[in-house]
Amino acid sequence: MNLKDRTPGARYLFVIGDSFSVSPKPDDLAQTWTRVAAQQLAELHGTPVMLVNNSMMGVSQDWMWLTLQDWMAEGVITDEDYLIVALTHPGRFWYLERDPAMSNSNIIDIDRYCSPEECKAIELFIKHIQRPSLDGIHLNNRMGWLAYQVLKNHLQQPLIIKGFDQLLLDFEQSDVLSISNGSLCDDISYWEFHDPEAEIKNKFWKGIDCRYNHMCLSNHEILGKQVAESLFYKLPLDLTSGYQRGLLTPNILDDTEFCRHQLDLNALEYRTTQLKTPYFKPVTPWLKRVGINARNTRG
Amino acid sequence: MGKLYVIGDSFVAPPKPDDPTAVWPVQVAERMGLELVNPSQMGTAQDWCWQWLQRWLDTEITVDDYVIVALTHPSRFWFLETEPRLTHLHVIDLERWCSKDQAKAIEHYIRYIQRPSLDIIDVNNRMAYIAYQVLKKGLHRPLMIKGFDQDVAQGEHFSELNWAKGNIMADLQAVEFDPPELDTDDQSFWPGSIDARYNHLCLTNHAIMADKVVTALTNDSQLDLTSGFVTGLLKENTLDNLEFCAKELNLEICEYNRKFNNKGRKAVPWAKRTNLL
Repeated sequence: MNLKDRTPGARYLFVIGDSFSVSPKPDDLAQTWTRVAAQQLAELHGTPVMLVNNSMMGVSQDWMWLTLQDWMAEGVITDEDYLIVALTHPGRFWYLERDPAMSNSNIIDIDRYCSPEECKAIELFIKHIQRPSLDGIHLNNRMGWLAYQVLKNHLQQPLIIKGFDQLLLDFEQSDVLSISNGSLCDDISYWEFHDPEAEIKNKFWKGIDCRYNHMCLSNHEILGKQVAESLFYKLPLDLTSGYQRGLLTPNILDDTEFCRHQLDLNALEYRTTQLKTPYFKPVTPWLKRVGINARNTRG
Repeated sequence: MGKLYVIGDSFVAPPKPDDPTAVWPVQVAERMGLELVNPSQMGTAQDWCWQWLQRWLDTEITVDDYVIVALTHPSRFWFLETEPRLTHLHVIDLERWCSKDQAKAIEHYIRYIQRPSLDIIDVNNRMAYIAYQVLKKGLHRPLMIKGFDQDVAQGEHFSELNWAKGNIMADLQAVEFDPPELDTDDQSFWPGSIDARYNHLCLTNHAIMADKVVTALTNDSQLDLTSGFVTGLLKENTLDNLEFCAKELNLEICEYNRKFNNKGRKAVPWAKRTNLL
C-alpha cells in the first residue's frame, strides 16, 4: 500500500511493534486485537478506519523508531489518525541491518542466521557493553522524539502499549503520550496459562507458541475493544484487569473446538508436525551455549 | 541567579581545577551573570552527554537558564560505564583502560554492528528529546555547536534548537594552523603529540568565541563559526615563541610536550593495531 495514496474520508490506525502486534498472514482473517481495534474505531466514528500495521516479529525499539521516523518524514500520519506503539523490551538491539528480528539473546538459534564473527560481536556486546542504564537513555530519547512529533504536528495522543514490563522514566506520567497500565506479556499472555510457571520452563508450548500475538483470541477481542475505547475516548488503557485467565489448561490442545476458536491453526499444525519428527528435540538456547547471563534481554 | 549548562567533549571540557584560565564557557557565564555548570569530559559520546541533559532537563533547568551542547561525533559510543572517554577508534591506548574482553567487545561492535544508519536513528531521537523539553517547558533555545561536521538529520529542522553555522573542528581549530597541513592525522604539530590549546583553540579565539556566544544566547541568534576568528596563529616555529605560548596555550601541556618530544610522531592508535583503521 502506498501510504500517500490515502483512502478519501478514511482515518488510519497506524501500528508498530513486535510479535505482540504483528499481523497474521494476509490470507488469515483471524480477529486479532489490532484488527478488532480498527473495526471498533470505525464503528465509533461511523467512517472507515484503515489499519496500517508494520509490526515485525522479534524487532527492537530502534527498528520501530526508524519506521516511525520514516512515517513522520513522509507526513503520512495526520491529526485525524491514530497511532499505537506496541513497545518491545528496551534491552533488544538492532544488531544486523539485514535482520531486524535478530535483536535479543533469547533467540534460540541466532547462530543459524549470523556469521560466527557477527555472533561473537553480539555475544561480546551483551556481555561487556550493554547495560540497563544505557538502554534507559535511549528509551528516554525515543519517547522524547515521539512526544515532540505529537506536539509539533498536533497529532492525537499515541497509545504506548508495553509488550514487556518496563519503566518509561521521564515519560511514565506523560500528558503527551498515553502509556498502558501493565504489559501484554506480564498481565495478559502470562496469566492465560493455568500454570504460568510451567510455561516459564517451556513445558506448555515447547518453543512454538500457537497463539496470535501470544494471546488467545478471546483476549484479542477484549483488548481490541479496550484499545479502541482508549483511543476514541482518550482514556487510559488498563491491561491489568478484565482479561480471561487460566485458559490454557494442561490438556487443552486436545480440545479441537477450543483450538479452533482461540489459536492459530496453521501454527498448531506446524507445531504438531515438528514435535512428531523423530529428530525433534529442544535446542539449547544460544545464550546458554555461549554463557550469557541474560540480565536485561527478553522476548 | 540563572545557570549556564554546558555539555560536550574536549571542545568544552573545563581546565584542571587549579588552572584559573578563563576558557570561553567561563567567559560567557561571567558576562551573562550565570552560574556555570560544565561537567564536560574529553572524548565523550553523545549518549554520555544526553545522560546529563536528561537529568537536567527533567528536573533542574528553568526558564532562567541557558544550555550549550557541543555536539560530539555521533559514531562515538559510550562502551563502558566507568570510562566515558573510551568511545572511538582513535583512542591510542584503549586497551590500557579496559580488559582484553572489553577491548574485544569494542572491536567487534565497531566491525560488525555499528553503522551510520543506526547512529542517525539515535541522533534524531536525541535532538527531539531536547526539542520536546524546550517546547513543553518554554525554555531558552539551547545553542547547538557541532564539534565535528556531521549530519544531524531531522534535528537540523527543529526550530527549538539554535544551530551554529559551521563546526569547531573544521572552521576554527584546523584554520589556526598556517598552513593547515602542519597538523595532520599522521604528524602532529605538537612535539609530544598533545594539543596544548585549551579546547583545541588559542585563547585569542576563546575571547572571540565568548563574544559571539554571548550574542547568540542573548539575542537568540545564530552563532557563525565560519568567520570572524583569527586564523593562522600557529606557524612552524610558533612554539619557540614563549611569549606567544604564555598568552595563547596551556603551559603545563607545552612543558609536557617539550619533555616528551617525539617530534610529533603520533603513537599507533589501538584501531590501527587491530586493523580497524
